[in-house]
Amino acid sequence: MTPPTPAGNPLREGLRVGGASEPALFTIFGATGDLAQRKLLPAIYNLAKRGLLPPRFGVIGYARTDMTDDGFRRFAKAAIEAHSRTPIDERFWPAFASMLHYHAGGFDDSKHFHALARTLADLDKQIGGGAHRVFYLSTPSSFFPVIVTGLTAAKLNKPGTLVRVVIEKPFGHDLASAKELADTVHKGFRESQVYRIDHYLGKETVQNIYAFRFANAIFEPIWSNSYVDHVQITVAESLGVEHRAAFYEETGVVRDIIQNHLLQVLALVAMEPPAAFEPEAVRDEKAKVLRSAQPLALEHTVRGQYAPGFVAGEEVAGYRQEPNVPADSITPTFIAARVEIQNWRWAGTPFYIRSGKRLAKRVTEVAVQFRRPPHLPFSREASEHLEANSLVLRIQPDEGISLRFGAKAPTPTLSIRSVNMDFLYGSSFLTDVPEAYETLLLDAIRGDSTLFTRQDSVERAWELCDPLIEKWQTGQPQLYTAGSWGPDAADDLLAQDGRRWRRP
Amino acid sequence: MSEWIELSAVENALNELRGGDSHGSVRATTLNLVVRCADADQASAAEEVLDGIGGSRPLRAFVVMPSTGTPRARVASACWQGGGHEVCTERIQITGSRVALPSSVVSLLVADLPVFVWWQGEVPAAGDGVLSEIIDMATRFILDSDQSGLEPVVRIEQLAAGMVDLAWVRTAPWREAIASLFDGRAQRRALDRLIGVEVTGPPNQAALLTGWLRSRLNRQVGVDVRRAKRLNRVQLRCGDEVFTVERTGRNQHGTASGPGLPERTVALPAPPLVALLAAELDRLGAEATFEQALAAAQAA
Repeated sequence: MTPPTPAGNPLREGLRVGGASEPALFTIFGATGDLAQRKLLPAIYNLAKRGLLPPRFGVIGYARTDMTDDGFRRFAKAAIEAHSRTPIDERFWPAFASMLHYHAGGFDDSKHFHALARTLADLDKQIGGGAHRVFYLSTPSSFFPVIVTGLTAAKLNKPGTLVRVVIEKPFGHDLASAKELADTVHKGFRESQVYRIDHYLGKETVQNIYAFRFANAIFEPIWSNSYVDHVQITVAESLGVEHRAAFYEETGVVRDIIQNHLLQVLALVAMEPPAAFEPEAVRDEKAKVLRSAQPLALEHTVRGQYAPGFVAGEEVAGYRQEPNVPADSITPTFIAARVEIQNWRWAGTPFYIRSGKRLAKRVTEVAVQFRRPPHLPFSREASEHLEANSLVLRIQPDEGISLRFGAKAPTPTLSIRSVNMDFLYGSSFLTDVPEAYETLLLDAIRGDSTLFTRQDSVERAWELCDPLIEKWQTGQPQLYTAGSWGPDAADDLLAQDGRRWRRP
Repeated sequence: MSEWIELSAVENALNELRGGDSHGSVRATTLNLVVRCADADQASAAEEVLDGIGGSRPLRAFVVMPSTGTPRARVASACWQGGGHEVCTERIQITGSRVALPSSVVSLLVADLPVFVWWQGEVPAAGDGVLSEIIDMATRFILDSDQSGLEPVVRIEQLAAGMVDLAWVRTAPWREAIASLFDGRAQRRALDRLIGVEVTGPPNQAALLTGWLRSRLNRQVGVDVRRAKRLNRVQLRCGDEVFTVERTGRNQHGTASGPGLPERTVALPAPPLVALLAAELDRLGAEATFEQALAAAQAA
């Protein structure tokens, strides 16, 4: 995408720089928090090192802790040293550090926001004026209402063309709360100013789904119910709940993975080609396909929870044995579901989705299973081992594409076997892959919302998930052994349709 | 490197280096890179650059050097580990009579992939048949006016589909820094009054920068050059106002300043040849801004 250029500067035209050029001030609310330390500050540092930040740029850390600018610079350096994908370059550090500023303040008193407004006005003057303002709400969502109110009271939400607010998921915990959150944010900001970040969408390999589908003429013609038998989307984790039991007890697999990451990936796989790779065109198509999807139905889903077992040779506890998890918890850690998309392209071609913790391995992939040939002119013996064609988009790890097709085995009698042709991104592009946060922060600074989630998609995703979440408030999940691929019922779900799960 | 072999044996030799037909692997190659060297010293330097590019771009590289006699080749395959993957590149060194070299390379190009030609040493005069053949096969033709001067760049640019001057690429951070001085409305008005530029640096880079300003602003801009080995300072006179981008010390940074603007630090990296070349291998096609700047540099 072409970054916007400061209007009227003829010297900007044709410059190769792929970064942002408009001056910008980037304020992080919750600047001393975990996310800022692990992701935001390292991402900003790496963007600066790659020369992608605007020439006139400043970062303002905002948090309750009392700290000077220099104190924040030391804090940021320690965070970057600990979490950046590239080491600190001491020669570059002074120039970067000079961009970092700190503003101590609470979230619930408008005087702090008025003071912030003065700080930003001063910094804007220092860097030559006209700076875009990006407010990153790196705080628990319970603080969003007071921060939005504070920003609005201090008129920091204006002008709408220059100001953006970035918010982190979860975007509510159900449809009603998502709407409530949006109403709160919309009191101060128009939807076009709101950037809902889901780091999954910033991953290179997720973005590559766009390129794979819409930059190649050979796949799109067969990307429909005419040729595709079904699609399987797997988001599997080998880790358990770790130290997040309290969070996970409130969340479960549907809110944690399905409502956001997985449905977003499904939308990318199933959407119609956008007219242009531009924010509204792309997000319109994603919203359209989610509107065509049917809500998760109890009879087409399997709920699981991991029991003790072994993962990669290591003995692990069951979910109910994890610290701070109630012994009678019914929180689902696994789901398998059949999703129907009722539109011209996909009617009759189910999408099977599954996600869980403590599965056999960590993998995210989309497997497109094609229909079998209408007629095989070979003997049964020659082709009995032939599987239908499949195309697998592996998102993580070992990002790449795998195509399964039939080939003649080198035997005296005719025998057709399935073979896999693998393409690994890493073997074609051995370059430094940017962190998802780098991609997304740069887009927020440039004002490109293509990879951010729009409110209508958020609400539709909740509409798809809420009925199931409600029904799963009672009853028991099926236990599955840690290190397996989920409960047997997940296999039965496909078996009743005459299909089976791929083993990733 | 293998022993010297006939060209007809090259593909088999490379196949053996890859582990033979039974290996069953999928080869990923994204481009051909032809490095034309005038002598053994240049060839040796080119090999070092290719080592530096490493597995970041899986490619088939040709190091081509004129000598006498029937063309012969040596082959090598180098692999790099990274991100859990192994990336392999192939290298073919070819030497032989000058007129036979283009067809030797053509016969060994990986089919249907872009061909980058990096020409080192003196560029023959217009009308040279060998040069024409090499230009014809090139998707992009890479020269370095810091070595050759601007005249061959102008000449080749008129013939090649996509021309790269590494010296122009070196000016990129300077152009970015200069452009950033004029993002503000007040400064943009000053740009309308630009009358001249003073450059401390190599004359070819000064000419390219001035050509760039002329072509972007579509008017004449005077230039005063103070010769130096590398770009150290660019000063733009806009009526009574002066805007400056200047390297500070020996590091990769400098300052940008002008009326109404606070002095600020700007990145002025001077990447090594390996990095410059590797980045150019990611680009295809002609660069209009460069072509216009070059034309404007010549028109003065």
